[in-house]
Amino acid sequence: MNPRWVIVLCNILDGHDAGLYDANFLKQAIEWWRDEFLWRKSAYPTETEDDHLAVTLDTLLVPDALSKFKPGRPKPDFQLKCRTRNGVENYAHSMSAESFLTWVLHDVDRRTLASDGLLSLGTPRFVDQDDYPVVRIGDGKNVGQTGKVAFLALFSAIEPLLTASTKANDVRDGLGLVHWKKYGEYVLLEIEASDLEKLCLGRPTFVDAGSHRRFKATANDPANQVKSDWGFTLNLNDFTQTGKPIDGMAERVCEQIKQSDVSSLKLYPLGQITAEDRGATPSDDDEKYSNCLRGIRSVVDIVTRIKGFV
Amino acid sequence: MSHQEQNQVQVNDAKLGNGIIHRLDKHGFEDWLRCGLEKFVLQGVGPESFPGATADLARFVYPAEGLEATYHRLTPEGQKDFRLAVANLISSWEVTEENVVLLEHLLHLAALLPVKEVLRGLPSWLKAGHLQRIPQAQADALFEKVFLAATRLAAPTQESADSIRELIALPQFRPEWAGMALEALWSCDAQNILKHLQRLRPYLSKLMFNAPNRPRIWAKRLLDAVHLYRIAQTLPQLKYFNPRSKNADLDTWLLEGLLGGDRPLVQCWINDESQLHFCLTGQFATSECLQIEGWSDLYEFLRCNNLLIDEPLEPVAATPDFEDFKNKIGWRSFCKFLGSSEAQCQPA
Repeated sequence: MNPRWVIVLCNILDGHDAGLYDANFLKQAIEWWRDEFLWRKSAYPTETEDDHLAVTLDTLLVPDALSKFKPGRPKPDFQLKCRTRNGVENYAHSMSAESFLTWVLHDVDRRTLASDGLLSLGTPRFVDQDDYPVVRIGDGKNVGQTGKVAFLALFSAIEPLLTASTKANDVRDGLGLVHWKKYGEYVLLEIEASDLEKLCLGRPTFVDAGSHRRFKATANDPANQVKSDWGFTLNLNDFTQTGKPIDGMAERVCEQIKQSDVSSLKLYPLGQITAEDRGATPSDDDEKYSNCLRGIRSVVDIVTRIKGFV
Repeated sequence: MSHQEQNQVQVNDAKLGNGIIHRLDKHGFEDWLRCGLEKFVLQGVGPESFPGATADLARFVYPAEGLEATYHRLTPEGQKDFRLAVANLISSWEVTEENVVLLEHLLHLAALLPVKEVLRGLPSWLKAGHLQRIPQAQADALFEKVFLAATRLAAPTQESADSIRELIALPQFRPEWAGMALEALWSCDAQNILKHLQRLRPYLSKLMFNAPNRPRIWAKRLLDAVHLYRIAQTLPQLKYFNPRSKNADLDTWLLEGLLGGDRPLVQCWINDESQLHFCLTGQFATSECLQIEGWSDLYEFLRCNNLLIDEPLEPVAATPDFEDFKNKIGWRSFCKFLGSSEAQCQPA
């Protein structure tokens, strides 16, 4: 079995065993995923099976996605299953600098940044300086994709990393963002906790994470395991060095954040990733991570357990 | 999707086959991108809008991010064809109210990859008046995305300079963009820094008005873009006073930015022979000497605004070595720049 699916199946089981959701939810989610996968295989025969599995898993949480798939049958709500209460500490959300500039940032604030010399020619796009600008989400714009969730970390956990010249690399590793590639440029947005009072937040499940290759449903450190309101990322650097799924940072997921939800954001340019890509070597690739999550369980054991739910 | 639509999808995709993205050439990528964006963005079809890249599109928030992931899976030749396809699409795009959002996604993609090839066709596209064919709000939004893409891709090339010039000429250009535009033009076309400054003068005046921090910020960026000697040579030709109008657009911000403040970027003094010297603060050994007639306005401005220093804050280590200076700046180019023969340019 492709190790990336072993990773997903391990997270499905670990989430259930940690009490994030019950057997009924698991059954519904897997059945829907399976049925849509089979439909897509038939509808789009030229795509690979792996691609069909990824697409159907990544869209599992989207409400009413592909209503053509089961016309007339309402899709269960798989998103944000493990709801949590909002806290008081500010959150951090990270995203591509260019995407933020193009699709999220308020037009007036964009022009102000340009006027004040905070946008540069070429890369990195955002000029880094000590005085971080406060900006707004643009009219009709959002943080996060429609129908999907936005991942959040605690700003206080990331703040110590922001003084280093390697902050893009460090944030990538701390948040387990294996898809952040070398030379990509990113920004961090600080969001006040009070701005998210009316939104649904949750501890991430395998549905919220989709096909994310370094998702970890449960914490490994006992001190973190008791923090049941939070998921924990995989620290990519520690994993590469030790081969162990050492916890990174606490994380949550949130429904899409609209302009009307947030009065302002503080913008922290992270700069470009300068280190080599993660997840690309034998010491940290999908196989290594899947073996790490699997532990003493065999792939057969895992598949058998999954089948038992369906 | 109806049964009929489903069958049509199968027929279309069957022609493409598995691994489609590795079999597309430049024209194939153009069709693939155009049709894909129409389906994905306008029709809400979903990731299958891009056969062969469905998983990439499903994983990321914005289509350009997914397409970037697809791009990185291509061979170097495939990547080249992909970039050319993006560039061709942008430079041939007939903008309408309905499809302008697709162009914005293409510009996002061009900035992400990056696709410097866009600059080749951009000047002609801008001249063709596409932004005038859509409502103002859409034109303003599109302009900013084009400007940001052009400056992101800016290289010291003629095409880059032409693109920025065309953008400045459009009614959507605003003072907020003047600093970046000037910096881009100076980087691309350092031979004509005066002309660029003159073109942007009214916008720069507005940009710097009532913004005491901005002159220094932009003076620093311009110093990074162009050697001090070029700036120094241009200074006598700038506008410092206009007795006819109090509200005239002036270039005083540049001198204030370069020479003003407690820790100026540049220092300026007059020597015993009535020559103006400029140097980057702390780099006296490489001071630039201005020995040009007709700098009385410049001198007057410097004097009235206390921008001259009496003498260097640090002792000059040695008389600047003229031979070193010649070798450093490209002597023949320098003489050509002054319009003088080599003999005429020798120091007294």
